[in-house]
Amino acid sequence: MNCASNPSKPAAPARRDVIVEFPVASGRGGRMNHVRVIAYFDSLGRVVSMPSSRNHAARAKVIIDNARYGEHKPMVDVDVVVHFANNDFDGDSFGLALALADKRARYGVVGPTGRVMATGVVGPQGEVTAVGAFPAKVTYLEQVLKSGDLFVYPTGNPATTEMTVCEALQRMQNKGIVLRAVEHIAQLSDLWNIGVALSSPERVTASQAPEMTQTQGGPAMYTAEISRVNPSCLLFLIDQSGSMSDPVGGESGRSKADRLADAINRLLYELIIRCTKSQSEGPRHYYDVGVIGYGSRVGSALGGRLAGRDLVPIPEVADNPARVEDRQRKVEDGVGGLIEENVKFAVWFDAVANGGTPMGQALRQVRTLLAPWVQSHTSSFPPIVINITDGEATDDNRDPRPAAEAVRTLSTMDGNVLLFNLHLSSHSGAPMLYPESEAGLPDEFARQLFQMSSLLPPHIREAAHSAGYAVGPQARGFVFNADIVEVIKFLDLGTRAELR
Amino acid sequence: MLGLRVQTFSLPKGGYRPEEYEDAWAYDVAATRLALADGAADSFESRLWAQALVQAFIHAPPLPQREALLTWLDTPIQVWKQGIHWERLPWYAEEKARRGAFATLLGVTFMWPEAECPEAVGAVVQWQAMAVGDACLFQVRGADLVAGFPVAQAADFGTTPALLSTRLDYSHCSLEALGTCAGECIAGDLFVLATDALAAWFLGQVEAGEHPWQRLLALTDDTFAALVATLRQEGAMRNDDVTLVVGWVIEDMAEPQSDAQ
Repeated sequence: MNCASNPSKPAAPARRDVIVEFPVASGRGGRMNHVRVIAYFDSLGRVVSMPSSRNHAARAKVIIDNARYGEHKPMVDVDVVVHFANNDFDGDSFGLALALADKRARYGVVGPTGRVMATGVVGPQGEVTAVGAFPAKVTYLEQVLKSGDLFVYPTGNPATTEMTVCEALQRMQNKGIVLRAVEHIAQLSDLWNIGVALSSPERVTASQAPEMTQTQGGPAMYTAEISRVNPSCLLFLIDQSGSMSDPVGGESGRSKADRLADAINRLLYELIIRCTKSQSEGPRHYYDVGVIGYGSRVGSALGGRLAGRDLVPIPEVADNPARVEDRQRKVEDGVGGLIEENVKFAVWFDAVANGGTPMGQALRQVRTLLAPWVQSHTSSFPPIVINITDGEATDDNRDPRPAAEAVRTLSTMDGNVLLFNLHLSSHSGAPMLYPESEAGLPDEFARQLFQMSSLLPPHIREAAHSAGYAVGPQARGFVFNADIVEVIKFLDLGTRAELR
Repeated sequence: MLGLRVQTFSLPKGGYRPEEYEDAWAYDVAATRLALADGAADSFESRLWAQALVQAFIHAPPLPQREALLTWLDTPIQVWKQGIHWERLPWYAEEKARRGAFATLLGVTFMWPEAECPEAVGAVVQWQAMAVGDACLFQVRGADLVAGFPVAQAADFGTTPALLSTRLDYSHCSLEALGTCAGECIAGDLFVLATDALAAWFLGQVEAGEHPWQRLLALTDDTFAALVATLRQEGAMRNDDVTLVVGWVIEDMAEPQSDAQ
């Protein structure tokens, strides 16, 4: 961050202050307060003006350098002017607020224009780690923040603190405060305008930015090849609540739970077949797979010898079905007719339908399973989590969004964990496949699930497009009220990847 | 008398073991017939299938017509089926095998003059090729690429080439994609046969005004491996099994040769 003059900088546009706030425990009694970071891009290229406290200035420079890690060189060299509204703070937890102010000052502000509160320590490569006194900060912010405000904090914090913090966050969320837990500054890249060059800040307009944008300067996301060296991970989250014993909407006969069990067993079967190449070896270890059920209990839904196992390498899945059934199917005989042939149908898990819908708890379990996985598979295609439910969560104050957010913030170098949701609603609404907005969704629960769903990455969007779906650039991995055929297609599309 | 001096090179996909290589190539003693096949990654024993196809082509190439090709497939299909120990397959391998194996196929036939026809010395020799899928043939004369078959431009390489299958119902649908090509060659011509990854690089180079064949001359196994490693590292070539067959048309073809893999 030097101040070399930049000939392409335009004549002074109006100064545009970017304000991000952070909570602090200040003064002798550690009374809670908050401090504003005011940052702006100075098109005249003046020397960065740092806070009056020399101590803060030195740390601020380090934090900004850290936060700019991975950016394109020309942008790294851009200066911003930074002030703190007061200097009555200490420690490193203001890092995330400063980093965010710096990014928004240089790139332009997009996304929410309301109040932004952030706390987090920014590490050398832009990673965001836990802060001290988090419970006190949350307690304070619960009083200060209002509906529509944004609070950004480290993913590491709630996971390591007590239940009361989670409950406070839950109340904030219920109040309409937007919560974002992050592990890296780049996960907030929808809050600044990556696509617009600094030389034309006038053109920066506030627009709805996609939640999942590429880290500037980094490689494309969701392109890692799935191989034995870098396997991926598929996790199915199955609603096993009592209401799953109802028939699928508009169909009679077998229950949602039964149809779903068939669909998941079939998918596992297809995955194993996809990974099988020759007679001299078993299926290749391209995936770790898990099936988590939630209903009267939350846990692995696999049966047989895999009972109780969470993430299982696909070769082990292949060798340990609960049972193998003989079924019949019709196939083309090659000369225009159909013949029946016997096929083996493997079963790993059976339908269960009783109890509530502890979706929040299930999502937290997913996070617990995937956090170590992404750490030990940093080069892999990120895990795909497919949640299949018929309705509303009965825990987490009926709002599983924070728990879902905590899953989606996990990432490998190839991108964040993908969370797709399939809503087999008991509502008689028309089916919606891969929508770009929540318009038209009939109730709060469908909208929640939409909001919890990741954008479809390009390769899945292409696959969906080839399969005849009209999928827009903002299409989410969300399906509402589809019939069982669409469910199977969804599972196939969602787990599609280039195998090598 | 004109003939073809043949050199072949092959490597598995980077990070894979040699026995996981799923392409196949073969040519006969008189270099009258050359064949190249690329087994599809998502199929069962596709290496065995690719080998069965090239061997069948060398032994008795099909007439380049759809119905004839379908009948001709019967032999390699039997070879593939007999190569599988059906009784020992676990359920998933049995199901995968039932779904069959898939491969592209490129075959070339040269009409070399008979040895007892001295008047044919120095003559122009006809060649003809057939292909299903994207294994490619290039003919180079001097500084010019005079033939490229069956893929016309680098952008045409996709992820779903037409494939011949051990399942006749599938192969029947692929016959639409059967391509044929014919031409003439003279002494000094160079033929390059390559599976898709290398062929795509080759065509891309040609489109950029380069003469990629110059990097394929005088190769040894070591320099070929080095070239492939470099191209993969530069991102100039997709990481895939790679097979190269280089044939020079020369006068006074001496000793017969043949080989296969």
